Amino acid sequence: MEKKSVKLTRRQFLKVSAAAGVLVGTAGTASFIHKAEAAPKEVGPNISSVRTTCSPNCTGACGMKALVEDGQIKSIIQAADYPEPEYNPRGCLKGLSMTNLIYGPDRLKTPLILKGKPGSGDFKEASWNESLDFTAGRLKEIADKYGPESIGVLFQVGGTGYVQKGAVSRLATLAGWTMHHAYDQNGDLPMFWPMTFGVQSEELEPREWLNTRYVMVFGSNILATRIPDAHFLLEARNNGAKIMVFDPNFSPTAAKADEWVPIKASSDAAVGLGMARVLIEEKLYDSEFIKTFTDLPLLVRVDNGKRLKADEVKSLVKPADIPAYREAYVAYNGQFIAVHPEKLDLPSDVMIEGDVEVSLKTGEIVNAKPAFQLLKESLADYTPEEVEKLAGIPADDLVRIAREMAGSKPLHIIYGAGNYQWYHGDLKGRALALLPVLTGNIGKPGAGISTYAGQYRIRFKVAEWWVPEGKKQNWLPFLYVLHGPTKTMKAKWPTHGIKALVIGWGNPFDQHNMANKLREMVEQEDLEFVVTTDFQMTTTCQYSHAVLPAVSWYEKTDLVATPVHPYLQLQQPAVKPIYEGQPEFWIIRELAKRLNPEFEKYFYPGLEPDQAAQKVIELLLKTGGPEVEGITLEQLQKGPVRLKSDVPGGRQIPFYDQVQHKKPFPPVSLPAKLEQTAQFVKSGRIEFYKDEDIMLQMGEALPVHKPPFEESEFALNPMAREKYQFSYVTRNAIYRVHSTHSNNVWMNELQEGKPRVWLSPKDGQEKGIKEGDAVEIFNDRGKVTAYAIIDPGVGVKQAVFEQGWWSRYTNGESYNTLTYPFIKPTHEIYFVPGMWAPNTAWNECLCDVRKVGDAL
Amino acid sequence: MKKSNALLGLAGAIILISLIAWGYQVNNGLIVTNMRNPFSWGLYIATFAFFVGVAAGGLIVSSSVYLFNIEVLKPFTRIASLSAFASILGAGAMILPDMGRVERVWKVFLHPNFQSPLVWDVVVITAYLIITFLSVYVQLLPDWKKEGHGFLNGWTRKRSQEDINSFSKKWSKRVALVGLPVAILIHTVTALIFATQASRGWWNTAALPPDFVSVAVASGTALVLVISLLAVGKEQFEEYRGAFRTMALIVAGSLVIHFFFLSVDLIVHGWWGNSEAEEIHALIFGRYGFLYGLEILLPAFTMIFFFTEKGRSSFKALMIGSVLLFIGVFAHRMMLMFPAFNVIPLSLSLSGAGIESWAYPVALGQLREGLPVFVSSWDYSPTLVEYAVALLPFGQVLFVVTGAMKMYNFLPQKRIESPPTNEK
Amino acid sequence: MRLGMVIDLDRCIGCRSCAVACKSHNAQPPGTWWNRVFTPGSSFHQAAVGKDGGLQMEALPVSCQMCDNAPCQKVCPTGATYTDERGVVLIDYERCIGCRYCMAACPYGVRQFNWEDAKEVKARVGYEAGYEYGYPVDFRDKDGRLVFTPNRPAGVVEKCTFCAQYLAEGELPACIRGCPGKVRTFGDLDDPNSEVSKLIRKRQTVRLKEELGTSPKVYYIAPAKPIRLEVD
Ligand SMILES: Nc1nc2c(c(=O)[nH]1)N[C@H]1C(S)=C(S)[C@@H](COP(=O)(O)OP(=O)(O)OC[C@H]3O[C@@H](n4cnc5c(=O)[nH]c(N)nc54)[C@H](O)[C@@H]3O)O[C@H]1N2
Ligand SMILES: Nc1nc2c(c(=O)[nH]1)N[C@H]1C(S)=C(S)[C@@H](COP(=O)(O)OP(=O)(O)OC[C@H]3O[C@@H](n4cnc5c(=O)[nH]c(N)nc54)[C@H](O)[C@@H]3O)O[C@H]1N2
Ligand code: SF4
Ligand code: SF4
Ligand code: SF4
Ligand code: SF4
Ligand code: SF4
Ligand SMILES: [Mo]
Repeated sequence: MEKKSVKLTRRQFLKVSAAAGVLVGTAGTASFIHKAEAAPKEVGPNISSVRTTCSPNCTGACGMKALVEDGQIKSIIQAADYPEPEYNPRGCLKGLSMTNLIYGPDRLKTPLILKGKPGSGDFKEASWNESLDFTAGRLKEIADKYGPESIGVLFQVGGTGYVQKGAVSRLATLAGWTMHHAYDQNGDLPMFWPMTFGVQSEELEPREWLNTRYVMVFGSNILATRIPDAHFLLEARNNGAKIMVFDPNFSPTAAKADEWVPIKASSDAAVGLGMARVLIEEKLYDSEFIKTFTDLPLLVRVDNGKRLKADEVKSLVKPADIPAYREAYVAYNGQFIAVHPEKLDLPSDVMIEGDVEVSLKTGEIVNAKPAFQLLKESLADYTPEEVEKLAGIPADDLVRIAREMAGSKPLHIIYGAGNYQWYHGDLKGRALALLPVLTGNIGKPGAGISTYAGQYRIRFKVAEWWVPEGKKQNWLPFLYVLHGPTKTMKAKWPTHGIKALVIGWGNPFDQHNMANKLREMVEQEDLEFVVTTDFQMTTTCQYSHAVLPAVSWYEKTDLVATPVHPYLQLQQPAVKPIYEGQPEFWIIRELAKRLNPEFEKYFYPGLEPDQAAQKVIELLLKTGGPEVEGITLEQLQKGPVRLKSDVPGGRQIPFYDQVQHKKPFPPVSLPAKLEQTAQFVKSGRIEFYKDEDIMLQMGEALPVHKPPFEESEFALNPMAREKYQFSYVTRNAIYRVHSTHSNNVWMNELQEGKPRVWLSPKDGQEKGIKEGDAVEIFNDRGKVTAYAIIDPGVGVKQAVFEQGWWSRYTNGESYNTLTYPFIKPTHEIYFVPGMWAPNTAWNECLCDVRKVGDAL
Repeated sequence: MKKSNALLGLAGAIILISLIAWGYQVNNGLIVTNMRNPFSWGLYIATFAFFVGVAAGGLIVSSSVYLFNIEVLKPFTRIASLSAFASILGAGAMILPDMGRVERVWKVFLHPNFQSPLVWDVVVITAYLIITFLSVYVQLLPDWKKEGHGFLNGWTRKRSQEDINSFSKKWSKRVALVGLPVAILIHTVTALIFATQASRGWWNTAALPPDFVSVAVASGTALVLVISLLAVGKEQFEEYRGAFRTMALIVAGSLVIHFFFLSVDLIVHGWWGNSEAEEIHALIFGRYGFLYGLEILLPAFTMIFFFTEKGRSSFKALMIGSVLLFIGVFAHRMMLMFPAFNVIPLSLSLSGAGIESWAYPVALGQLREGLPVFVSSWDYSPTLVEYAVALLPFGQVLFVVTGAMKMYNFLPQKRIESPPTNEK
Repeated sequence: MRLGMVIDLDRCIGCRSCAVACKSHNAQPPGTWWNRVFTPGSSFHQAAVGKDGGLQMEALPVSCQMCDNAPCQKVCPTGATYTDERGVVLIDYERCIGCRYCMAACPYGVRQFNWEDAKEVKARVGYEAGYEYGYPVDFRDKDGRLVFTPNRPAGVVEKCTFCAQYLAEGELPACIRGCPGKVRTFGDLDDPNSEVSKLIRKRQTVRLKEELGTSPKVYYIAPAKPIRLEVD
């Protein structure tokens, strides 16, 4: 079992919970352990084990134990110390091989200052003093010249480390820099959430999957992208839940499902709407539920498509106690009812079908229909036969599945990020949300719709640390940096645009280098200065003017929480920083005092970074609100602690409160304030009818199916229709967390260290491409070379590329040179950072493929 | 003799080269060979098996003189014994560079696992080494006595020449009697190393040991034939014509038996038509078709050739036939490896997907840029170092045979009844 | 006591975490893998097998099968390969002469040879100077045989040991602890109450290449769609 290091006693928190061993692994354990002979043998006294949290940008947040000898991590294994054995052991092959990155050849050793051209790799090693002075100096110059808001800050999603990332936010706020929220930058923001439910996003905790009877997975490759949680899906299946996977490709997840339903790329909305039509036609919906919790009974004016407001109607008065961000709409049950947006209690005879004449205060008489009626009319187009044409799902199957789904409760829909990272991802989500809502599968155990994207979610209040003294922060969606400003944007475009980037925890020069824009900006000196903190020499570091070596999560203290499981956990240093690496907190503090001596006091001057981090954690726990109430640092040092929730048993079930206690939508979506998010669903209900002008103009008041590329690629270049007929689908691989682990030697042993493109046998044949051939995937914007895998499970006219390769593995070019920063106007109606903002659509990209010679 | 000095020099050079190569290998590990995890035996083991084969043949020739009274061969018993001794020494040496840890070889004697055919092989090869040595020794004793020199023969000083003559005669016969079964055994056991392994379909057949024996008789006799031919030279060919014809017939005859086993084995492998057998057939007739062709055609040629009058009645013909046979037999030894290792034992059939035999990839044991780590077949071809190391037994045989012949009289013993010819 | 393992292929997600856990904890040099996971029938892991309408994709982890009738042990001339009192087939790194006969004999392709010095191979990857991964201490069995050492000598054969170094500490093998799918169960096959015995009794299991008579102690539960209860 655990041995405490004599050498490490200084850090008392390294004590490891004795419980860990008992809860280890599978059920076979106990009986074995008792029989295992003998006490520990031959184990040196200088071996210890330290519990920390693996926390790259994958949402896993898996508790890991590092075996440490002589100040070096020798191996890593799952801590398996979650109090609920169901969650043990969390982890995956990447987490287990972090040693390859920590001690690997790409580890940054010292600060670097660019000597040659960006990307040339021509750096000079510098001391911390020199590099920090240089960085602070350049940032001051740029701030003086263009204003501090011309400095953009990228620090990826918050949950992977509240303390160290908080330091970045703290400094950016103090300095008046512009922050880019990673959630929409990553394309991970499922815009249907704020549109429909008024929240950033929500999900069942994976343990809840066990309570589900019917699971519909729309393009989420859980077996590859939720490795630590995939077992819940199989357990649910083996408990009798039916697993249906809708995906153009036969993914590992599809292989384990009861049924794989191959559908055309980005046709999910058609499928959802076709099924919704069956539910409505066959009256398989839960009318009680939709009357109580949705906007479907609310009346919509036929003349202008706007929802009828209570204060428009002659006989009604708008209730007085309504907050400014809400609106009182109207329903009808023989009488007009002013619907209070914070009270979910409509009479059960409220009209949802038909129409009614309304006299307005203006004297006009207009025709109005409940949203449900309009929905029904609009769904009339989605007959099974029509959906078969649009999506390729056989008409019979569509009807059968819709009936099966309606008959099995709880129903859970998993809407994958790869699936919503399309131009019309929001429409797809709104259409799919109809299924659980119409059947009353919201706010109940094992029921609902979930998205499991990046580690976006802030799970408790962080303002006390992240936003010093309630200062105002500047936010700008990242897509504008790539695309340039639009006329319709709500966010504020800095007068001179973004002239410098401060980057951490991300590798945007591969991951967000759409149409090669980012590199061009640096090369053309639009971006005058880029500084990156990372612990590895990434492509982004290669394009930076200054590189500041940070440390991995085995070398520092932090606090982590993820949406995927409801535990708060610590990162604790297993070893001292390697080479000259420093925790970001320290780097930020050093930068801060160089930028402005006044700033230093905000960063616990005089404390060691780890001590300071502990202070910050204590602060966060004290001020974090109900979710962390009562949780102490000491508890966390013993092991993971479950976050508090209002749901009995502390379970993570979205909208439980709304549905069980008829509370208005939305619940609070941290870190935003309610008044920011409640404006998304002014009715206080689940909204399917959106009457904002742009929604009406674009014909998206109700969820509809729109084919891909029409408003994006073809609008940009009509020639693309002929020229580029392959979809460039960039999905995640088990071997990487995005670009992290691109260079991990074991991961590359497992896949020959080669990027792959997966093609259908039919396309392979037409293009003369055989298994193993080098293939160029290209469009007008760029190209990437990969080796072909001919897979009978891949849909036709798709070039499926496993994303995340460093450019060094793709001929120096970023695989994201092909993609384009399309901005969908409906994403600009409001602006709340990372909640309602233009979302990146990676898969909305056309290309062609051709065989190249073996030379690469 | 100038010629023999040159030959000794050549042998020395060959041995030196191979020892240097071996030294290099010891320093860098077996990574300098082209063997890898999926293909873990190669040229060394093939060469070993080749030399075991030719070694066995030697004693079979000399034994048959005593056992079957094939008088014509009698003049060549010394050469036969010497050839056997030299070859088995070469075989024994060849196995050493194949060990990853040659300095630990003594562990085989300290902790022998008697279940292992390799241990049986060590036992019989050691026995054979002793026997062939004794065989040479007792046959040389009379000469040594006569000439007053020799090796380990102090004890003969007190005895009379007649005594020693009859001692030699008696013991030559006795050694031959023991030697014959051991000769057959070394080959049987060497074959058993392979044939016992159910993991390798190509080897796992009861026909392998008898087939090995037949090939051994053919190639071993051919080696005796070649050494004898070289020893007597073209000039005296006619004199021993009868002996050479007999040896050629032994070669041809044992090849008949070899081809009998080979075809029976192919039929048994092929008839059932399971996927593994089909894979093996695909390999031997496809990817390794050339080598397999050599393995079949060259000995087949020799067999037919030696059955013809022309084939066995001239110096040149016999040399050509024998050399072609050696190449064929060497190809046969190499072909022990290819189909065995490139049919991955853990192969699965997926009836649902119409896949008959899918090889579960094996890790190479090496990481190199541009090379996959997991493979389901390995294109083995020996490296230069391997070739150099594998020269060792060739050098040894050359060295021992030439050296011994230079030092002692291995030339044909004059038959009493034959008329005295031009004495030197 | 006969230690064995049951691998539930129905649950295996093919994530290869077990292979990596094994590699890391047992300090396997680059190019060496004691534990592999592949998609049978496929040229690339996790590519589909079959034709339209009949696609499949299963994962099959394979490490040493711990044969009761182990050909590798039988052929080993020096007894370097032996079976301990718990049925674990082990290799004494100090006795192995590197003849590789066991590699020819093993039907499962799990034995791995050290073609060169492990330390050098690892160094070539470019880790921080002096860095070594894997369980850092030698482990000897009760008779003093060296069955685990972080840097394998060149010229010897190695393979899965059921994590002998951890078993001795009462810990489960790394692949068991490292499997996020909870696919692997480990225990005493002789004990009818052990979880492994129960699984073998309750579920349909197969062993690889059983027809060869190797009697492996690694059992696989075949992948199969579960029998469904009526959905209510
Ligand atoms: N191993 C690993 N796990 C990860 C990550 C990682 O990098 N590596 N990243 C994490 C992060 S940040 C994210 S955002 C998530 C993303 O995880 P996922 O949501 O699973 O995303 P992808 O892997 O991009 O794609 C999943 C599937 O979507 C399918 N798909 C693509 N387009 C469509 C479509 O139009 N309709 C349908 N129905 N299916 C479609 C693809 O065929 C693919 O099978 O993974 C997280 N987990
Ligand atoms: N075409 C296409 N592009 C995509 C996607 C796609 O599917 N297709 N996926 C998108 C998605 S969903 C996402 S979430 C993004 C992810 O994009 P990124 O988050 O930029 O990608 P990562 O590779 O995870 O980059 C993380 C970097 O942070 C470093 N790092 C890790 N830990 C620390 C730390 O503690 N401190 C510091 N300073 N650095 C650290 C790592 O070394 C690594 O270089 O990519 C997006 N890009
Ligand atoms: S990489 Fe992600 S899933 Fe894997 S161990 Fe780390 S946190 Fe868990
Ligand atoms: S770790 Fe578990 S789930 Fe993953 S491949 Fe191995 S056995 Fe299968
Ligand atoms: S699987 Fe191979 S190495 Fe393991 S016991 Fe069986 S024969 Fe020996
Ligand atoms: S290589 Fe080692 S373990 Fe294998 S048979 Fe030879 S001596 Fe035994
Ligand atoms: S038991 Fe240990 S050595 Fe064997 S496969 Fe599992 S991790 Fe590897
Ligand atoms: Mo993401």
